Amino acid sequence: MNNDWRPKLGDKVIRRPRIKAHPLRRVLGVPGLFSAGYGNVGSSIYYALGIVVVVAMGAAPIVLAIAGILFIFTALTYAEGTAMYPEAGGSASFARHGFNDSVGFISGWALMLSYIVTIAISAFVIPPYLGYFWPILKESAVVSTALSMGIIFFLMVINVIGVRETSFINVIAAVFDVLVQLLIIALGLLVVFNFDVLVNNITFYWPSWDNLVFGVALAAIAYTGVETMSQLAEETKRPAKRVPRALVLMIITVLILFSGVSVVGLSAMTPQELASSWATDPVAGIAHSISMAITPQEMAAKLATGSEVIIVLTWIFTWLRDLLPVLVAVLAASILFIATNAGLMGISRLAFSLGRYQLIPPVLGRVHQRFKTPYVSIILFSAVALAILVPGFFAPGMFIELGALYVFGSLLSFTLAHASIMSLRVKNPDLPRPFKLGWNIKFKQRELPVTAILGLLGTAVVWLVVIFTQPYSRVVGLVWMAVGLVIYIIYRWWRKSSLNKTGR
Amino acid sequence: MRLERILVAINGKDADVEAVKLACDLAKKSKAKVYVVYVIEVKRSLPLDAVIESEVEKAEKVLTRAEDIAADRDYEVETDLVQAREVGPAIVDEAMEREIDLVLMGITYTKRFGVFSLGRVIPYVLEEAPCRVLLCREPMS
Repeated sequence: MNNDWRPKLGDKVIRRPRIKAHPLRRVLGVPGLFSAGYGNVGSSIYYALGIVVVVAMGAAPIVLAIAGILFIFTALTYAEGTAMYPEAGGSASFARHGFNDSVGFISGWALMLSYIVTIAISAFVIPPYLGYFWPILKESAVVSTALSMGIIFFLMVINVIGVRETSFINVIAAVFDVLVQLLIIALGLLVVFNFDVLVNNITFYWPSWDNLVFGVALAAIAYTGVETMSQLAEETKRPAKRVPRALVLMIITVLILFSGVSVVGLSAMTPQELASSWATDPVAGIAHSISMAITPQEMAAKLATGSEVIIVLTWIFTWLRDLLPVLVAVLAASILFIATNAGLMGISRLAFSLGRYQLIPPVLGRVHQRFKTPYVSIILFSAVALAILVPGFFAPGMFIELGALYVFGSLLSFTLAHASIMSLRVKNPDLPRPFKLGWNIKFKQRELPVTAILGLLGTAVVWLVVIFTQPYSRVVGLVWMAVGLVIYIIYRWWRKSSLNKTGR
Repeated sequence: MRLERILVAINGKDADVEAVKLACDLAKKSKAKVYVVYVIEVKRSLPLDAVIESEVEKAEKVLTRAEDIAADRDYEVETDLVQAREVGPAIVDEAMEREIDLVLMGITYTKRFGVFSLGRVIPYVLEEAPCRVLLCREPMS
């Protein structure tokens, strides 16, 4: 080849672009997608129950059920949106298409807040679970918070370096976690469940109306992994079919597990006990109570008559009694560690995605020359997560505040997701919808899904409850949104780009 | 063995040269189509479709070199640049989608902790690819 060749005036150099319109290798199937989403929702069971019980006391199973209904509506809305736009960005992407860039930014920025709080709250509750092995981690707020911050710092470093991680580990962890949760529910129903005790615990410890409503708001924390699944749509093969399937699978799994664990929890101990000694590690508390209530010989004798069978059953129950608390401690710490890491990766992906559509300055998505990772966003958002953990040194109960802040971000984002789906139904009724929500109301020749309307009303009301009743979330959340909006407006002005540009 | 479609997975190392040459020689007999693919591995902290300029630039150079090698052999190859989370599954997926008869990969003689190592991509492709897989190892020196 002649290296001195240069194109002359009028020469046409035709180069076939190597990167095609879809150069991506999408490999995730329903199991991979489910496990990624479950990693987020499933991890929240390890702290959500404690947060909800502290506020809603005996009404915890009821508020979890009410929030569960909102979760079903939200998951359905996400199924329609993600099937239409299988791209990273989740609700920010729906809002960009349904309204304009500014609404897309508000949704994305709110989502960023909930990701940051996921990182903080997941890391915050790891030490109490490890307290089974080293009690100081549960007893000392200083040691516990310091370890949580150490975990975030460690994950920040390995994410900047870019350590390999496969979805296989997520699948194994999700399967193992579901099995252990089912084991807890089964053993709980067998050993500690008592309908009268449960009803008594619910009625005797019934909260005030304010706490009941705030409890519903906080219970939403249990169900927010729906966003993670949507974020991974672009990595999924045939996302239009598989994402809705994985979402439905997650709805069923999560509702069964949450209702089971909360019922067993309130049968095993009083809400007061759960809210005081086991607030940060409620599943450990439930496992501890079940373990204490297991009487191997008695239970074996109840279940079988033959002496050989009784011996085997006695051995199995003894083994379960000794193993359950250890299993829960190890599994909870691992799942929460994975969730912290998933939050960190999720937020950097989201930042890159928002930067691509000029919703935030692209400097946040800058990739490291050597490690090929978005180091600016990883370091910046880890630093914010570390900063919001600082009060943990002085106020061990601050995780309730963290929970409310999480709800502030995620529910704002969910509300906008519902509104965007309805806006798209009005603006582009003929857009291909591989997954279309049923139960529609006809309004001016347009079909509006009932579930999205109810979801919009429910999430908006709960969000307003948090705003009006929670000073910490109100101040931190609104300051976060205000700072973001200022950055967004200045950046758009500098780019000479309209604030109302519609989604591409 | 009748070959209609050959896939050469390259990664920018010296072993690519022989692999592309060999693919062209094998393809000539049956006038098989040769696809050369380079996979950019995207970290999970970035969206899959993130464009990492430095990586794309490197990939373009490597693929252009492969085209030149094939041209020297008087053969035409089709080159592709793919982004994926992991290289191994991407190669296998590419092979399945294009109904490839043979995947060809060049490897250098590498030792890890004093022991000869195939790395992580080659064992995955050997285990998972539905078609024949041919490895072309560089001399030890």
